[in-house]
Amino acid sequence: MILKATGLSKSFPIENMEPQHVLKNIQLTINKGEFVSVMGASGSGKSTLLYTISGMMQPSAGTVEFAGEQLNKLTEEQLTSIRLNKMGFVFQQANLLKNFNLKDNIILSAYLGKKESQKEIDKRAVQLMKQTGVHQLALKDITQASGGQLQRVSICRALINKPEIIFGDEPTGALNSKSASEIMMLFNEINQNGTTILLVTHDAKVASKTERILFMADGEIVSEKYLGKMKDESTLKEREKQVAKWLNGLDF
Amino acid sequence: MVQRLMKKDFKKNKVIVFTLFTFILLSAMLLSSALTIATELTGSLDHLFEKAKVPSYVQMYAGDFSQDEINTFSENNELVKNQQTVTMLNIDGESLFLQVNGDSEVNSIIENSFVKQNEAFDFLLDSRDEIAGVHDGEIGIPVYHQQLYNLELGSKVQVQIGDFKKTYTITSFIRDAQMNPSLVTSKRFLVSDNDWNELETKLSNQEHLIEFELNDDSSISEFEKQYEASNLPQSGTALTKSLYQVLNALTDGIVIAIIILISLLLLLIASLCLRFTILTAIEEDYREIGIMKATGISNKNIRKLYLTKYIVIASIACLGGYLASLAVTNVFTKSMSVYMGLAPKTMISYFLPLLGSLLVFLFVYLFCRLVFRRFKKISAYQALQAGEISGNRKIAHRMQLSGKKHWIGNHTIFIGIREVLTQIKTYILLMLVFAISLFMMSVPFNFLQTIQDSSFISYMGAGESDLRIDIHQMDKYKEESEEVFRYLTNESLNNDVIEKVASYETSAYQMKNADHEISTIKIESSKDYDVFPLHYTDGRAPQNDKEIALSSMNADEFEVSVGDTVTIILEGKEEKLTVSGIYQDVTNGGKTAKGMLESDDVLWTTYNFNVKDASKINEVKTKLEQTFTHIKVTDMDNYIKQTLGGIIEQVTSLSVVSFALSLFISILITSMFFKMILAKEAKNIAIMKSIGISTKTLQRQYIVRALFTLLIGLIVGVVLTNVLGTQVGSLLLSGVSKLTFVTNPLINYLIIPFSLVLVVSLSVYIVSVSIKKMNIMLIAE
Repeated sequence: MILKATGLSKSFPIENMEPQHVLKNIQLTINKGEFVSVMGASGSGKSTLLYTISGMMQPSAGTVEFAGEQLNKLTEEQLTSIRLNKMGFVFQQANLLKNFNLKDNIILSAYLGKKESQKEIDKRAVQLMKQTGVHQLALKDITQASGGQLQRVSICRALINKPEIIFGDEPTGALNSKSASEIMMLFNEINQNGTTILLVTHDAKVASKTERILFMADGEIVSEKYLGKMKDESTLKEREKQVAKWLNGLDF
Repeated sequence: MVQRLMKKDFKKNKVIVFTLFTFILLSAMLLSSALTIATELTGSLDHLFEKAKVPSYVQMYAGDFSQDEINTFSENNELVKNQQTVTMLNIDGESLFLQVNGDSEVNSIIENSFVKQNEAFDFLLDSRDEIAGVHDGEIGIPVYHQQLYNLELGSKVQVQIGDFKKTYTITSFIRDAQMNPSLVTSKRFLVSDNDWNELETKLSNQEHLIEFELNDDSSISEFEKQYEASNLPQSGTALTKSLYQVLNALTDGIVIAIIILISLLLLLIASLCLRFTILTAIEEDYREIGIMKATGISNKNIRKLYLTKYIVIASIACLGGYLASLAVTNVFTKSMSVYMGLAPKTMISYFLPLLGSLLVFLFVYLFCRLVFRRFKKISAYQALQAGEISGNRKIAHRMQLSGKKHWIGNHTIFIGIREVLTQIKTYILLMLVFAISLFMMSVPFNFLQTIQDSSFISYMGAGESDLRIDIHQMDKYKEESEEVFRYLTNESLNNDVIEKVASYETSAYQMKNADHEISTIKIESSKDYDVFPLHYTDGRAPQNDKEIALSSMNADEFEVSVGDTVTIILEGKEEKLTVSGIYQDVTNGGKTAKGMLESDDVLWTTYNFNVKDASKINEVKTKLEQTFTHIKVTDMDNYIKQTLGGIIEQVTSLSVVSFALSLFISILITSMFFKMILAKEAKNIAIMKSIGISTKTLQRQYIVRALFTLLIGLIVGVVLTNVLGTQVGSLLLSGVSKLTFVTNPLINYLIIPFSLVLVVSLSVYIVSVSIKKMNIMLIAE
């Protein structure tokens, strides 16, 4: 087990109104090396779940245990250190810094936070860029790359510090189907190398490439289905059909 | 809707609104104050001159003369309305005791004299601006001494001349339109007629003021020529009403000039802040502006929406500035009211300051309109597209973080510097503010340091020496003067004491000006100008009797430069002298000359000399004064201090105020600037926090940005100070065309930069604490 949420709730206060309960008593366990997706309609609370269990957002109630530590008991500094060393994030938008070129965006956190040599970090960055197919864009500005390429760069950035887990918030949401498919293949490869991945999506095709799917509605996990690891793309059609069937059953 | 938006905006941007408000308010307040002071100065001067009935023309003279000849001249001259001759009984410093601690005035360079109240004009006024009157045993003290020694009514003044000893009670403080300013080294004490008659028998050192009141002051220059053409006494300084006005207005004029300068600097800072605030607001609302445009709202209406906020801030600040100026002006006019009294207020004394604030408002309004013209450039399509990359890409590409090991080892420092350099346009505001702050801190201190330094003597038309002796009234003290010189140069007597001596004799000559008109000029002559060399701005000292050196004001007046010739009348014949050099001089109204001429009619003699053992300067001084009773020995520091006393005092307080104000400006602008930068970069900060960059690292990076900007600002500031600062200094001292600052390394290179480093770092640190609370969830937006 790498991540465990117990009795997790999150409410947002609204002026002169009852608070909005976005997460309600969530129980969740993610095992090391797993590739899990969270599906749900808009407003079901899936992104809030992702940010709460990753320590970016404080829960209103309940606990989150990550790699043996209770996140809600840690200081801001300790949380920063965990984000630097053990977690990686990929968002719907690439969220890269405009003023830096693509390679600098990848290495920035390692340069500023890690005690490794510059040479080591650079070497790893080049390796990752080659692996994700963006090494030729290293010195380009972010305006000189496509959306898919930027998302690959953001995956490299998430991987640069060799994290134990990667959180993805609709990582393919802003991409066309071809790019989305390529990114998912990349995630699969990363997962096969041992990194745990938890991502949030509303796209059945994306979810079908993951190992386990959690279905959310109204702030609760209403169902959990196991697809198993995707060995090769030949099983993809079948997996997609299966997910569609589950979704129909849940009436999303 | 506009009201609602504004309320929300003011609440959100408290620091920014406060900063803009403060700068506009201060600027309006200072400009209004300067105008108030100028109005009051003019009013007070006119009031004082009217009440005191200042003479139109005064010839100072020491020696015998015939009053009958003066009367005949006056009666036959249509221009003259009234004439009177005032006899001043000069008292040596060692015979006069003003101070509470019982010390005499022996160390003062002020020439004190006793007079009785005049009957026709040139009245000495009391503190109520009435013609002062004193009874027997009472005395009226010049305001200068009252301020210097904090004297009070009822205090005692003692005169001790040989066996004669008398105590007077101070019953009034004298406003003397002729001799008020500290730049004038003569001061008049008022005693009763009986006391004056008694003193006349004890004080043989007398000086006369041959005073004329003209029917029309516009004919002063005509009268001046007629007087010079007559055979009436002329071997002394001649002064006119306009010169008295200049002398009286000089000290306060400097204050007005400095206040206006500070006000304009603040306005410049306010404008830069406004520009930065507006541009940041536009950048932040880029999308919203695009939406407004896309939905058909006109440029004019969008501009109105934004402009209203600044109009509200500017109008409240300008009104506040005006009201504050009414309260603050008293601080500045305090010395003026003591020396000159205050004229009754008129409509214009309220209106003119209001005009000052109104001008500031208009400037801010027009400036905002100018900046908002940028709205026109934003197209709806462009604004709705994802934002562009701002900043200098060339520098960004050159300063890559990865790859070759960059020249700065520390990544945080490297990124901080890189951010400033790639967005230099944004950081220029802050850099300019730092440069201006340094300028405002350094210039008054440098100016103060310079006028307090003994080398300032070179701006007073003299070389640097340990001691100087001034002997006036040479017709009376010629013998004593020669004796002093013999004493100083007597090798067997002074071989171990005096190092070198030079004598300078000043006489009046007639010289032709550019329009071939004859005017009187005082020329100092010495056999050797190399003994105590003077710094010449152009050329060198005269080397023979065919050469002359002129003070820069005289060179300007006679429209000559080095190598040109001037015509001088020597023993009735015209003689051409070549201008060998031009130097700076603030003494004698800035108009002096140096030559190698010989004259029997010497006005005064100065001996400059050095003492071998510097620790014995005071000892030598005392011994000389004991040996020779009519001479005054002054050391250079005291000479400068006493001549420029008033200015030194004012500039000292101004330096402190300017220092504090600059620090305040730096704190305010740095805080406002980084508050806006943080708001602008909120998303970037959220991204960096999400990838594990700590708050501390981010804070450090912002401090690096501020300090790097400060470093550039300091460099620019130092250049500004050295180039412009000396020019500002020259403007303040008439007679000085090229001022070189004497600097104090401790203040310039340690105290000023480090206090700026401290306040800037602290300000950024405090503002950047908010990074900790900044919402990391912005990444999800």
